[in-house]
Parts: sequence; C-alpha cells; structure tokens
Amino acid sequence: MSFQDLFPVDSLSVLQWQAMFPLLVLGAASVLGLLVSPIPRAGRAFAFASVSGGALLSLIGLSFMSFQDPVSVLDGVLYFDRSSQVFSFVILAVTLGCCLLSVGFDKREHLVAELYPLMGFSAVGMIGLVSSRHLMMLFISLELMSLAVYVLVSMQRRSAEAAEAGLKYFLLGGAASSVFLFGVTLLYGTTGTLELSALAQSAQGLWQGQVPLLFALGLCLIAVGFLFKVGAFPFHSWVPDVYTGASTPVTGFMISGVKLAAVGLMLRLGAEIFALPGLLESHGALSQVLSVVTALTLIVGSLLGLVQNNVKRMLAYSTIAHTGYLLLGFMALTVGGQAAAADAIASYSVIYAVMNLGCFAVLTLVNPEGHDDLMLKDLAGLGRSRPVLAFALSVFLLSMAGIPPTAGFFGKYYLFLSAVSSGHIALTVLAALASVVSAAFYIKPLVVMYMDQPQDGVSAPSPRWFGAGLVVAITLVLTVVLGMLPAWVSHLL
Amino acid sequence: MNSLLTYIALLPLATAVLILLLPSALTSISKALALFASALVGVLSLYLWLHFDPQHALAFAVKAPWLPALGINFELAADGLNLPLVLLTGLLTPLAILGFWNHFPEDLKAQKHWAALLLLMESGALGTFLSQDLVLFYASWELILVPAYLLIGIYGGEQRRAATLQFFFYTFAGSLFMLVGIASLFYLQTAAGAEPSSSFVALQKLKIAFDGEGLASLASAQGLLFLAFGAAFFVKAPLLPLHAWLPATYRQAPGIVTLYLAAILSKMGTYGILKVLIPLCPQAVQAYSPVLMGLAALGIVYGALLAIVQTDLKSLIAYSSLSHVSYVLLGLFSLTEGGMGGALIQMLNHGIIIAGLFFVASILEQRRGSLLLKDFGGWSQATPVLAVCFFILTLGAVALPGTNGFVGEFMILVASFKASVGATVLAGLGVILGAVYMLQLYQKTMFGPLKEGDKPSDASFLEASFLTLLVAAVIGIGVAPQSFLERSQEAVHAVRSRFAEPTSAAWNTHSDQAVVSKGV
Repeated sequence: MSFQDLFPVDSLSVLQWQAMFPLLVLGAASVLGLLVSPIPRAGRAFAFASVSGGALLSLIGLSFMSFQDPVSVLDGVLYFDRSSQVFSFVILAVTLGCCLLSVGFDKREHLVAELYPLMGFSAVGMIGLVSSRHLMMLFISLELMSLAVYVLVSMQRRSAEAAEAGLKYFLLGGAASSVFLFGVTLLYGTTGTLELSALAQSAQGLWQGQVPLLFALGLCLIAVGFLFKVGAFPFHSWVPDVYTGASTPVTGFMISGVKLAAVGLMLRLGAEIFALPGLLESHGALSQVLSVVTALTLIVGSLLGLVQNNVKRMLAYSTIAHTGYLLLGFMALTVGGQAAAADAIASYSVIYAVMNLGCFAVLTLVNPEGHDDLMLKDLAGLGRSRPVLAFALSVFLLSMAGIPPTAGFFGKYYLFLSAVSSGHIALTVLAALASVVSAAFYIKPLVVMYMDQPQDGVSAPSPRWFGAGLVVAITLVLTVVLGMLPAWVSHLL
Repeated sequence: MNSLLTYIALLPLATAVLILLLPSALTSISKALALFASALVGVLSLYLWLHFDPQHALAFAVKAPWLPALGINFELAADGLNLPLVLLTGLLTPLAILGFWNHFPEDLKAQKHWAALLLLMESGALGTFLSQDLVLFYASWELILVPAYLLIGIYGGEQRRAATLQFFFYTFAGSLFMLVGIASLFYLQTAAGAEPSSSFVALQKLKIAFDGEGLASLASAQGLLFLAFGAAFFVKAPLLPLHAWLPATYRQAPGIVTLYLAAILSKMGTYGILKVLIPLCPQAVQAYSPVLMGLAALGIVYGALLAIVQTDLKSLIAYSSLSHVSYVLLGLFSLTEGGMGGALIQMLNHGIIIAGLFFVASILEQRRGSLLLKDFGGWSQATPVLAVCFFILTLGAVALPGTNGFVGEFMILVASFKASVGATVLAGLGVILGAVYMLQLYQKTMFGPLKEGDKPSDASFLEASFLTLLVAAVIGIGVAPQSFLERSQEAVHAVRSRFAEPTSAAWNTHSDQAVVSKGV
C-alpha cells in the first residue's frame, strides 16, 4: 500500500498557493494584529498597521493574478475564478477602507484595538465565502465572517444599544446559520455530495420531471440562510436595529462588506443550483415565493425608509430596498440569460459597496461624539460648514437613488435590463416605483444639509480624520467616474 | 468641425466643474466664466444653425463607444428637430445670465453655485436635444434634475421645500418609467434577434406590436412603451393632468431658474414626444391621438382660466405657460406635418416669449419687492423701455399676426382642425381667454395710477439689452418664419412618415399666409 492511498491528497501546486495568497496573508495579518493589540497605548496603531498592511498586500497580490483558468484546491473546497477574484478584490478594498475610516473614530469612541483584527478575520471569511464551491466550506466561511461581525457590532461596550444590537444579531444570525446548515444536510442527504457542480450533476440525475421534496426543502432552507444575510423580507427585522446600534465604521463594514459577500454567496448558489433546468418549473411555488419576497423586500425597504429620522436607520432600510433590486437580478439569474444577470448583480453589488462605503465614511466624520445617534437634523447646515463632505454625501445618496451621471444609475439600469429580459416586467415596474419612493428619503438629507439652518445656529464640530477623508475622496471619484465610464465596471468583471 | 456638437454639449459641463473647483480667491469670476462659456456655446450653436443643411439627415454627427457591450454610444447629431431648440438654449442661456447679471445673489459663494448649476442645466438640456442615443438622452435628461432641485431648494421662495419635493417626485417618477421603457426596448431588440443598440436609428427599425381595442391596447407592447415614455414626457411638458408640480415650482423658483424651467426644460418634454415617443410608438400615439388632443385642448383652457384668477404675477405667467405649452402638445398630437411643424416652431417661440415674461416679472419683483398684482400699476410712465418691450412680448403671447406666436399657433390650429374639430374649437376658446389674461396683466401693471410710494426705475442697460433681443426675436420670427421652418421640414416629414397615411398639405406656410390674407 502506497502512502498515496493512505493520505490521498495531492501536494498543493505553486499555482494553488498563489491563489490562496490573499487568504493566507490576510489571515496571518489578522492573527498578528490580534497578538499586538494588547500592547499598551500603541496597540491600536500596531493592529491597524498589521491588518491594513495585510489587506493592502493581498490586494496588490490579487491584482497581479489572472484567473483565466479557474484554480481549484481540494476538489472545489476553494475555487478561484474571475468572479471570486473581483469579489475578493472589492472585499479587500472595503476592509482596507473600513480600517482607514476607523482611525481616529476608534480612539474617540473607546473602541478596543481588536476592532482591526476582527475586521480582518471577517474579511477572510468573506473571501472564503466567495471563493468556494463546497457547501461545508461555505458554511464555515459564513460562520467565520458572522462571528467576527457579532463582536464588532457590540464593540461599543458602554452603549446599551450596541449590546442589544449585538445580541439580537447573534441570536437571529445563529438561528439563520443553523437553518442554512440544516438545508446543507438535506442536500447532502439527497445527493451524497457537498461540492456544488457534483451536486448539480447528481441532482439532475435524481429527478425525471419531478424534483424530490427533500431536495427542494433543502434549497428553501439554504435560501433562508442567505436571504437572512442579505436582509430580505421577511428576514429583515434585524437590519435596522443592528445597523443603528453598531458604531458607524462597523455599519459601513457590514453594509458594504458583509452584504457583498452574502451577495457573492447568493450569486454562486443561484447560478449553480437554483438555475438548474427544470427546478423552478417543477416547483412553481418556489419561484412565486421568490417573486413575493422580492416584491415585499422592495416595498418594506422603500416605504419604511420614508418615516425614519435616524440617518443610519434610514440607510438600513435603504439597503433592504437595494436587496430587493439584487433579488430582482437573482430572479433573472434563475430564469436564464445567466451570464448577463450574473454580470448585472456583480456590477451592481460592486457599485453598491463603493457608494455605501463612501456614505458611511462621511457619516463617520459627522457622527456626534458618544452614543448619540446621528439624526437628520444633525446634518443641518453641513452644506455651509463642510461643503466638500456635504457634496460627497449628496453624490453618494443620488447614486443610491440611481440618478445619472453617478455609478448607481448604470448599476440599476443593468439590473432592470436583466429583469426585463427575463420577463419580470411587473416586478421591474414595482422596482421603479420603489426607486421613486426611496428617492424621497435619499433626498431628505440633501434638503436638510443645504436648506436648513442648524438648530443653535452652529453646526456640530466634525473632526478631520485623514483616513476617513481619503476614503471619501476615493469613493467619490469612483462613484462619478464609474457613472461616466460604465464600461470600466464591465472590463473589471 | 466634427467635434462641434461635443463642444456644444460638454463645454458647459466642463465649465461647471471648473467653476466648482475654483479656489475661493477666484470665486468672484465665476459669473463671468459662466457667461463666457455659455456665450461661446451660443456662438457655436449659431454657427451650427447657419451651416445646417436640411437635406442632410444627421448633421455634424459625433459617435464614440460608451458602453459597447449594450450598444450604447455617445452619439450626437443635429437634425431639423433639435436645431431650433439647440439655438434657443445656446442663445438664451448667455443672454439670460447677462440679463440677470445684477439679480444674482450678492454672496460670492452663492454666485458660484448659481453659475455652476445653471451651466449644468444647460449641458443637460443641450445633451438631451442633441443626443441620438436613447441612454445618452436619458442621462442628459436626468442631469437637469439635481441642479434644478438645488437651485429651487436653496435659493427659492418661502414655500420652496414643498415645491422642490413636488418637482422632484413628479419628474423622477416619470424618468424612472422611461428607464423601464428603455430596458424593455433592449429586451424587444434581443427578442427580435437584433444586436442591442440604443441608437434612435436602430430603435426605429424595431417593429413593436400594437393590438387590442380601446384600453386593452395599452397592455400591448407598444401601449406599455407609450405609457412608460409618456410618463416622463407628459410630466415634463406638462400635459394635463400631470401638471400639478408646475405652479408651485415656477412660483417658488428664483427668477432665472423659472425662466430656464419654462423656456427650455419644458421643451425637453415636448421634444421627447416628437423625437422619441411618436417615432417609437406611432400606432399607439395615433390610436390615442383624440384623447391626447382633448387633454391638450383642456390644458389650454384650464391654464388660461386659472391664469385669469391669479393674484400674483409669477403664478399668472406660470399658468399662461401651461396654456401655451398645451398648444404645442395639441399640434404634436394632431400628427399632421403642419401640426408638428407648428409645434416645433412654437416651442422656440414659447421659449422666447415666456423667457421675456418671466424676466419682466423678475424685474418687477426686484423693484417693488412684491409679486402681487395689486401692488402694481402705472409703470408705463416711469419705465418706458420696459413697458414697450413688455408690450411686444404680450402681443407675442396673445399671438398677434406679425409676432412669432402667431406663426406657431396658427399652424397648429389649422392642422389640428383637420384632426379634431372639437379640440380645436376648445383651443380657439383658449386663444380668446389668453388675450384676456395677458392684456389684464399688462393693464394692471403698466396702466392706471402709480401706487403710493412706488418709484420704479426703468430697465438697466443689461436688462434692456436682453429684453430688446427677445423682442427682436419675437418680431423677427414673426416676419420671417421660413428660415426656421425650412430647416425643420425634412425632419418633421420623416417623423410623419412613420404613419401609413399620406401627408397633409398644411405644412407650407406660404399657403397659410395666403389663407391669412384672405381671412384678413
């Protein structure tokens, strides 16, 4: 008996090591960050340097790689291709951005130095989530990402609201994860494999015109898992509380990073399994449920956003509405015209990450000190006191509303296009209506910033942190340039 | 001069960005910079107008790939349809800046915002008119929204907030439906096996199904597209009953913005109908033409009636604008060559006249500090220049022969009479009502005794120059409309050829003038 039979795993090739470079570097940097963070006084600086350095290094490494031929490690446990590269790239950039915009804020709000390594760990989970085709690895990555974020959310230790948000997110998220895991076991039970392409193959062999109930049930449970993570109706109730309770840079991290990774997961599962021919046809109810979920997500997000006075809470509802647009793309993905729909979702989520990161960078700068929430009225007079910040925030909000020449316009246009092409006309019209409604609350901060006077005559002082300013500048340029030259996004993908 | 149109469309945009980036030491030149850039655009558009050859369908065309995967190009060209509007926008903008030179806010920072936002609006309008690509058209169309919103919202009157919100939602809702319409067109193209392209030329080759009787036809592909595009254009124009945003917005906006909204932005709606809606949904427009003409005629009378009962100047002119734009719509929906040609020249005419009227209103407001009609009276003695110019503008507005208003309204009414007698009779009633409110306005402000303590000063040199040029245009186009009509004839004919029926002969104004001389 040869050793090869005893330990039937090939050594990793150079190419595979290369592909894993970002994961390994960021993972190591996060561990290092964790080790240096207890150092008195300098801990924050060291942790920041370690994690952001790791993220930057991975980012540079990643941009030199080419995944024309996908690289698979351990039969798809890790699987690197163009799409995973793009998602990982944006995740790393978002992580770097969030590290940058926490500098200064962390000290003022007494956040512990572990903030940075936790972001790093979460990002490792996210990268795993977008570069795996193996259900178990997907689950582990999901948990790695989420566990770090649970802690991040409740990091503002003296705030009861943050603790509540953390607990709420932890309990609900844990429940959603277990539902996801249960779905995975059902799929494994019916097909005998956890690797997605093998699973798809064996599933297609399973049914002749009739999909087994257990398989469909498993899919539903998995869908619950990712619908929870992206904050779709009816699993959206945690979103406003958690996004409001978490400290502003962390909310930015969740809204642009965690969301992006969850969309990556949704995209992969959608393209590999939900789009299997004959699946949704034989379970007509499944696609009806998806349409209803999409419609209600759009409605809930845009209508409830209207009545918010808390800026972060308003943006939380806005992300629910954005989830609705993404689900619209997901519906298109499952019907056919796959490549186009996948591109639409990917470009939209990239654009979405950019504009939200920028938005939260501005909010970090104008956030009042202490545990007070940022209310709409706090923005009054910002147009005069900090014209550049006000202008940037306006651009980000207009981009979220989808007004040209900002990037958000083309993102939304791509999604509408893919939805209409797959025949979901009624849903697209609903999405257009929801856009009008949500434009109502995107325009609110503009009104307040430019047209209102601050209550006591002077605007609240806002710090001039370099990191956050840099993030604002970069995302602002990206939002405008991608809006004017949309072909760049497609080149990137 | 192949890049002529690129300069025309993008020069204001580039200057706006430049102005926004001006260091604070140089803010004082922002107004001058805006004037300089827009004057340059004005000269270029005049050059374009003079060198335009009506036989050449798409002149001075520019085409560069923008988003090749979806067949979207940066494609500009001049044709008979957009030529008068480009000229209007190109010339009116610098003149308005000049006329309003001393009406700009004192604060230098505010001046900078005004200058930049006005240029952004100009760029959006020119882009909308010149674009030969639907997505570029949409992007330019939306470029207007935010600057207009900010200008009204920051510098508008007391109730500006409600006005801006109404303005924003009406227009944005309309635009989003247009966006869905554009997406559907791509879908129809791929479904028909064609390469996706958003070029107008390619889109017009598309056969879009139209079937069903009455309301059921709205559910066919063409019916739905009609609704989607109509939503955007009818709001912007506006067509009754989508006009609710107009009175408050015009009333609350600062003078130069109201002028811009009424003179240029409302033309984007009517131009959209001519350039996009009718060519893309010919059968739908034809089927609904009676209803649309009815709504337009109602708009004429409704606007006129409400104008009569207004107590302040700006609201009165706002409603008069609603009434006059409805003539344009009436002409467009008559779907005859004469009607559409008349509508086209009436867009230009209305732009000139309404700009003059709102400018007069601004002068009156600035001098008196009030807009209420009851605060005015007897100005003709003290302000002779203003009074004369205002008078000629008033004559243009009531469409007296010899003024430009007459040419357009006459062509429209003759053409629409052939299409719908009822609507034309109603519109004719509007002509009479129009005379009532315009003459009333003139009489109440200019005649009678001066109000106590009112010492109005006449138009300044800059104001008078602007008014004189407008008055010259009112008379010039009224006397020699052919130079405008001949440039548009071919293009309107091409739009008309989207319908199966033979064209009517009411186009040529020489024959119209023959009718006039008989009538007189």
